[in-house]
Amino acid sequence: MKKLILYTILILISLTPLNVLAWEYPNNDSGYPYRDSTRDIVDNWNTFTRNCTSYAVWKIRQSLTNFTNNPTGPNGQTRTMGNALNWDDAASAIGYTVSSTPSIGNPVNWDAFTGGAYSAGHVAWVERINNNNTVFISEWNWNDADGNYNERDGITGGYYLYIASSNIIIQNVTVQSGQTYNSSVSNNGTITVLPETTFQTGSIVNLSIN
Amino acid sequence: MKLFKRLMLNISLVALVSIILLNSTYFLISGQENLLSYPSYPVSYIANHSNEKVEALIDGEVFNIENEKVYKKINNKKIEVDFTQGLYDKKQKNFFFTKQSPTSWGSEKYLYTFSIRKNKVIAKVEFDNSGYYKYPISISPDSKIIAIAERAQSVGEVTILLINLENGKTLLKLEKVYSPTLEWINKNTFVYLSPSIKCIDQTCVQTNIEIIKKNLLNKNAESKVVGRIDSNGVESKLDNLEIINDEIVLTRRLDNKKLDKTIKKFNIDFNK
Repeated sequence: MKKLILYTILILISLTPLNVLAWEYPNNDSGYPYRDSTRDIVDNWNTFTRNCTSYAVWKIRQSLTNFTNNPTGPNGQTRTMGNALNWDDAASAIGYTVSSTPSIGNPVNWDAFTGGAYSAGHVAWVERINNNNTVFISEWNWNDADGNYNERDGITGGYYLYIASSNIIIQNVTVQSGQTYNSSVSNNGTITVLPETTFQTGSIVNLSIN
Repeated sequence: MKLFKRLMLNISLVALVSIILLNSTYFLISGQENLLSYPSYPVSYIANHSNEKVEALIDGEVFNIENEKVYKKINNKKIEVDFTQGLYDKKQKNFFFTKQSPTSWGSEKYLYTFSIRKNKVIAKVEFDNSGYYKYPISISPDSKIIAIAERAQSVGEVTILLINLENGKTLLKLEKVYSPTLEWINKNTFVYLSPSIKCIDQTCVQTNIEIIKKNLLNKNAESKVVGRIDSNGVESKLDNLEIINDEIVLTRRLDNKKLDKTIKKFNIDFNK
């Protein structure tokens, strides 16, 4: 009987799919396409695979599909983003806002030897803004340049680049023609409009950043 | 009952053999897919994740790397090499490698030479290890000069050092190179890729990709535009140089997965 149980266990193991037995690296990078690529190969947007820049451009491309290492910005100018330390200057030159105020769903970059970055600087992605105004970021190639995905919380400093468009979904809204509302955006991205108003679905709401 | 037991035993044996075969095949196939992906790269360093089993292709032979140690079987003898990336010199049967510093994003200060014939490290020279991790990418035909690339984040930001293998001295420093590739036409002349750069108010834009042919002795250089850098073009992704049958062949490493190695060819004589 013991042998029978043993045989049964062996058969069950043999039928177990190999991917269940194989060790899997945690996949929190939302599908970054070069996570298993050889490092330092030119990717589809002209950065090197598994670098911080490659991941940040890929994240931007989720909303700006034509964005590459050589983007043309809102002012019609084209610049090369280059190593991460150049990103704030290049983004500013092509018409994007660069600020010390964090923005969810956008890149944040650091100069050389600041914020723990090495000589080429570093760029990461702002996933969340905490109540104390620190940010939670996702990034690649941080820990001793290991070429892997990483997340960090409680981050301060850096240049916040307002490049990627945010997906703001406002449901059941109406707009009174010509009326201006006072609005504010909280740290978690909630937009509050005063006075309290009921909007109709399908209405166009013009949001301007002052 | 006996017949049933015998049947179960047979099934179990088949199952066990299947497990062993399937597991070994699984790793072999997954590794070799990667290895076949980069047939022209001097060394394919397949490091998916830290501490994971990786494999390297050196002159057509598979090296297994575990915990940054490289093992190669020659005549059933296990050779151990410790490296993170490297370059194989076919003529001398030497393997060159550097090590990533455990305390910084750069390299340790030595370039090692491992002799396959002698099965040991036969030389280590101190080189300029400032900046990011540096790794060997090409060796001159007379095996006296080695090109070492520094890791960069984006195209056009690569630094390549030409180093005298005898003393580690930097003979030439190429900055703002397009990608980590350099090939030798003869012992004094080499080609590499460079972007054309136009700068406005301290910010720059890359426009074309050029092949630069340079003579190390007289420093003479010739260049030829081989592609435009634009948002959607394939040309801007060509990042690998080879010299095949006296022609410069420009390929894309990512596309080597399709074994498409003839993307663009150029005559070595730039005047033709």
